[in-house]
Amino acid sequence: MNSIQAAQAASSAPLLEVRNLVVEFPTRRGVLRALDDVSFTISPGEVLGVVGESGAGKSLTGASIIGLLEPPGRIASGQILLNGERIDHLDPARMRRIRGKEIGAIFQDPLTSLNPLYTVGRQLIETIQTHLDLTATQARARAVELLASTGIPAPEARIDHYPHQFSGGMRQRVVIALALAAQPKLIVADEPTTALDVSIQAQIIALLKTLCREHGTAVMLVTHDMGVIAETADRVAVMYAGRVAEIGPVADVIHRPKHPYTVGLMGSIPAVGSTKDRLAQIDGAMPRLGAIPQGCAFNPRCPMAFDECRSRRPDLMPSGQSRVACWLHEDALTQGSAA
Amino acid sequence: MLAFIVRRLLQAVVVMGVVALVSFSLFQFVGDPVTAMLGQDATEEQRVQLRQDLGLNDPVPVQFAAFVRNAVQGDFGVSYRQGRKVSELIQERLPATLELSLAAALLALLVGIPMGVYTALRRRSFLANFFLAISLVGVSLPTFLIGILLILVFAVFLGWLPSFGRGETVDFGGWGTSLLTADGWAHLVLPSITLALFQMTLIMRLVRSEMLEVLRTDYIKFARARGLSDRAVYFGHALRNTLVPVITITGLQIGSIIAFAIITETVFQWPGMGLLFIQSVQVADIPIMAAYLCLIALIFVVINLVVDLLYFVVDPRLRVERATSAH
Amino acid sequence: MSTSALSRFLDSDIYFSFRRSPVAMGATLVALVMMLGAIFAPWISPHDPFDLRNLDLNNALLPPAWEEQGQGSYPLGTDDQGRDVLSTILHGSRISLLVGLASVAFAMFMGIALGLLSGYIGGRLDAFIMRVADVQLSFPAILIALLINGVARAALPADANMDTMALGVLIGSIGLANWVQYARTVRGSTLVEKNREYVQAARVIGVGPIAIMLRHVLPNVLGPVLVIATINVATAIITEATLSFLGVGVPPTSPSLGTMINNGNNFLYSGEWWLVIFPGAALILLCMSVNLLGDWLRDALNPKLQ
Repeated sequence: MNSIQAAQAASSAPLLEVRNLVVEFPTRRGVLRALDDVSFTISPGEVLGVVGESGAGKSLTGASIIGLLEPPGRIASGQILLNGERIDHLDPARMRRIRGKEIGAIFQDPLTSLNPLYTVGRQLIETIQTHLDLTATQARARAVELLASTGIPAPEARIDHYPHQFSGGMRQRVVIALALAAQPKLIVADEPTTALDVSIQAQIIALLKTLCREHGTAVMLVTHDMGVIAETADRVAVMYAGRVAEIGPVADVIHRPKHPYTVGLMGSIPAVGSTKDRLAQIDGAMPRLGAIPQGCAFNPRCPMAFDECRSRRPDLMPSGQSRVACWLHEDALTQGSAA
Repeated sequence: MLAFIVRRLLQAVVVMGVVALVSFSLFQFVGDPVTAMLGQDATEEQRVQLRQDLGLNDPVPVQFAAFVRNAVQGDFGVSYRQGRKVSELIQERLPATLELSLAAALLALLVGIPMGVYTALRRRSFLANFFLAISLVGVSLPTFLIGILLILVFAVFLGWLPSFGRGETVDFGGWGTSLLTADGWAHLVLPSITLALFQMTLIMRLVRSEMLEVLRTDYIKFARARGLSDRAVYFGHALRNTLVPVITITGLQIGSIIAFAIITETVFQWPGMGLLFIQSVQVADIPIMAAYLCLIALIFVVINLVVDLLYFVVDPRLRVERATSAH
Repeated sequence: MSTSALSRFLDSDIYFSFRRSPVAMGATLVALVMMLGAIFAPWISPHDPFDLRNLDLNNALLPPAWEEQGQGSYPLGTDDQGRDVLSTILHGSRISLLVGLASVAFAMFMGIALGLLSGYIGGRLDAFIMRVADVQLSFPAILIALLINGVARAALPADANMDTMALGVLIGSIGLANWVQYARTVRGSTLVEKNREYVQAARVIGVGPIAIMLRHVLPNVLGPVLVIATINVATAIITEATLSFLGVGVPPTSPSLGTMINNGNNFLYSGEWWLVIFPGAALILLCMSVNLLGDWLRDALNPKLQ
């Protein structure tokens, strides 16, 4: 999308809105905040990438959205809205209707995502018939169509095969078919290519992108792989220690990163043809949930930290076309930006 | 798969061979068959004659071959104490044990599986914790104690049910069954509960832990994420996957039930093979011990084989050729 | 050093979950009481049930002290020989506990040894041991114990030294019936550890295989082995009680709880219920507390549940 389209998408009503989401885990050492005041929106048809290190809270955000947060984790405060209606703390029956039909999900490991004892066809038809009012024959025909659309050869034959009879890449295609079966408006894809061979990853990502464009499905693409984000996403949110550090259009965040953490991330990605002989790295490590520092979570590792950073936590502030949670960009407020 | 079957059959034959060897050794090294059969007052001539008749003067391998040949035909000679053919005794007693074992197995499954599913799905409910507490007691109670307590409560204190024997039996073409009379059923109640209780708690705990494991898997998470109904997720997917290892383990447990029948039969004086065996151990009646050993081994080997084959039927991953996967 | 180890233990997850579970604490208390009672039986029991001179048949079949005909000095009543039930229970628990623990120790020792050898050496030895294990596993442990014990008793000559030997044979038979689970677990861990770099490094340096097995592999395996052992103690005690009840367990001169129940069974219909109920209750309490401890230990040590 170019910036005009992005502006248009942003100005139309968002499909998904996450407002000040706080997710907590009570443990014997006290309550841990895994997500601390996370906010973002996803517009219809757009692809939002969510990147961050392991443990930054990306998967938890996805799990909260589809309502599959594992106890004892719980949404302590904040709201999640789908088309303007709240879906956090919805009663289980209504949440079930939303899952699959409005919001779909794709997980990391295609081998364990499929029930090994049932054929692929049975699992597809079951999902189709749960959400759409079709006869068994119609459902089966639709299942074959779905398999074909995800690029599985000879779908009429393979529909009766078991998951272990497919290779890794094929299995993830089946998973994508399952997720799209009821034509949801949003897909939460949690590391969909991490468990696949590098050569297959590109195919799967391309498939996801094509199918979602075709159906106008929005995607929340959670990953730690910046390359995938660059290829696929329209906007990207960078998460750190359970908070959003920076969020903006992909080109901006990648080429003109503003948050020192994002700068560090981009700098540490090896580039082909680069003449540097050492990779830049960010000193230190992301803090554990029980030991998040005061103020900005990144301040101990930040080369540009100053007093304010150590005492007050920065909110997301507009800067250019993105928003950054960093006191360095506070001035953008007073200068007034074009966003 | 054919190779697998052949290998298992060979293994079965080896096991039976070893058991035969052990049984045979019992004859050779434990006690003196001649004294046992004739008593202390036999004359020397009688002893010599008997030794000749029993073939005890032949070299050991010849004796073993004779033993195996007879065993395969079901002939284990004559009981030392009771003077009757072992095969007859066993034939009389086998139906009693089998009926009791079957009743116990069914009871254990029909009660254990639903209880296990319930405690897995409703983890924090009072009833679930109650079941778990009972199951703990069930695992800690030796079978004989359960039997005695049941007798104490239902036969001695309440007088509702009989406490020993099998009741009236009906002869069904050589198979004496007690299932055709009300009296027979009344006698069956306490022993079968006793025998089933341990298995029931085992099955319940197994189903529970398996189901809890399954409920944590990715495919259940994905099934939920697809919006499948609770019934489809719990009973269509979770239960099906849970039952696969459970059914096969239960199959193996049937053998265990038949073995534990020894205890139950002793407590209730149930006229089955187990009681016969215990009595034979107490008086060192070798032919019966040997026959029981071989028979039990045969039953176990057959059960194990059937269970292994059952795995193929139930788990498609083992069944279908892997060559069809595209890469 | 020991204080820091203690403070580490008190701070650990295991101790936390222990203190959070009243059931575990209750179980340990009961188990402790019973075990102390069993261990110190000769010193704390009010009478000596084996001292034939003190037995008075006039005192036979007395009900518990709170009943009409009971006497205070026999709090739980007496049996048909005039023996005090409480004292016999204490001594009987002692025997039961002894056989249970000894047989588990035996099974553990044998299982660990065979498991280590099987996993580390591999090849034909491994195949053979595992084959035997598989075959033995297809038979229930109690049957095996019964067979070994019954046959041994029939085969061995009956003489005065029978008792210690009988006890030894009993412990051996229960142990032999139970070694397989240890061997399998240890073998599995050994196979995993064998290929770790530190083991290969040790081999390169020239450390002998036995030292490697004992010093490197063994510590990693003890966790699951411990869990198996706690469950095993309860089943061993039950197995001993069952065998004794059937008359093929402990010799009659050192009666265990199982023997007492067998004896008491004869008096069920004539109304002397205390001869069965009290030993039965003692057995149940002993097994239940060991089982609870084992359950809690398993949950505490299970990384997946944390």
